[in-house]
Amino acid sequence: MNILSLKNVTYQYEGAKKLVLKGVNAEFSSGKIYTIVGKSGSGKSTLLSLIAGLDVCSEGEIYYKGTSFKELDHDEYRAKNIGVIFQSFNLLTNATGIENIILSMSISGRREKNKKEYAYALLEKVGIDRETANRKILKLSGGEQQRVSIAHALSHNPDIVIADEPTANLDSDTENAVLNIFTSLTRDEGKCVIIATHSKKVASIADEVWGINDGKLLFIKHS
Amino acid sequence: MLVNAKYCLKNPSMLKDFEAELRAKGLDEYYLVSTDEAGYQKVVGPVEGLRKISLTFMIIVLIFGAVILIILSSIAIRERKYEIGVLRAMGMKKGKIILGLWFEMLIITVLCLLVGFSIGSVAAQPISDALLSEQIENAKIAARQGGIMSGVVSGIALGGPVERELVPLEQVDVSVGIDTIIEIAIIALFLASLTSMVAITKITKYEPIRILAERN
Repeated sequence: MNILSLKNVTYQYEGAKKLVLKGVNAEFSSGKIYTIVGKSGSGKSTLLSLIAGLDVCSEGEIYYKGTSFKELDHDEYRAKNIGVIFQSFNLLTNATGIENIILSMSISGRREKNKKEYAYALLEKVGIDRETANRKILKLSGGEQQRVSIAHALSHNPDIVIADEPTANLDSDTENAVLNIFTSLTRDEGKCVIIATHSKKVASIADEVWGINDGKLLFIKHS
Repeated sequence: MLVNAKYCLKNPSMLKDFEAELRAKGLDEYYLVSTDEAGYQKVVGPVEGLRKISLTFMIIVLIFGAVILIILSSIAIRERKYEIGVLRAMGMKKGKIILGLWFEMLIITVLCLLVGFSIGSVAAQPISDALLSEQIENAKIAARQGGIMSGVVSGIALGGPVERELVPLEQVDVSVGIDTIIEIAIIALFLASLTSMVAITKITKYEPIRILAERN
């Protein structure tokens, strides 16, 4: 089932003449991993921002489960239906990892009996122990912040997970662990995972690989 | 025969009514109702001076305070722009963020008010005494030089001023009443709310990605 559809999506930055995205059409289904590849500045992150409801397209429409983004409450969508792993993490730096995750769960309105234990378990899954989880984000290394960011994106059990270079700061072991999480999310939990990446290793786990070139999204291959 | 009668009124604003009442009760036009302006100025002048100084200070503090408050709250909210972007990206509603920041600003203002009132209650009397004594000195100098405040008699004299040595008010008990506290608190909370709302609304109008992109 298509969970996300993009119809003729065009995006242009305010005041810029060049179109970043030109009439992008794509459909994304639950239970699959998609990777989007392309040069730096090709519009991968912009496309993910639009899918995440963090920005609005200049033309065209995006549909979530058949409902147009124009009719969708973007805040609610971001809080409940989509998890975003940003390239630059975008966590509250003066809070701890565990606080970031509990806050995200609270905003989504998730009713977990013991939010703290659930958050610890989630962090352990990405290789963050309790002591590290209780350190302020600013005191964590890039790799640790990346892993907290992944746990953060999964904390509210979203239908769609989008990730912008999610393994860029990770060592090989953690990268494998994260890729296993993505695979398990799609195979076992039926989530839709969309990853923008330069990594061939990440692209290799995808069910479908798409590429962006000159603002156009092109289908490259099935797994 | 010269007839002199002296009445003391609580407030100079009662003077006209007082004369009207006297005339109404049958006081002949032959009699003159007059006030001892000079005496009044000598007694109350320093306090009036103190009041003018206080009022000027208050206006200056209010204007400068408001400007400083606007600048500080803009800076404080700008500093938290990234935090606002992250919360918006997590899906927190604009209204909730605005309310949160506003509430935070109100708590800070209330704490500042408590500190201000505490310092004010301790410092008000000595400052007032110092200012008043300066005013009395000025009044004395002016009196010696035959200035405006050279009168001697206080109150109102019926049939002409009665001269006697008058002593100016040398002690004013400064205390802040509950009405004043409420007034100050309302002004402070209003200013804090206004300034923080302007800054918060300006920032929350952007799409979250724009705020995050600026930082990144």
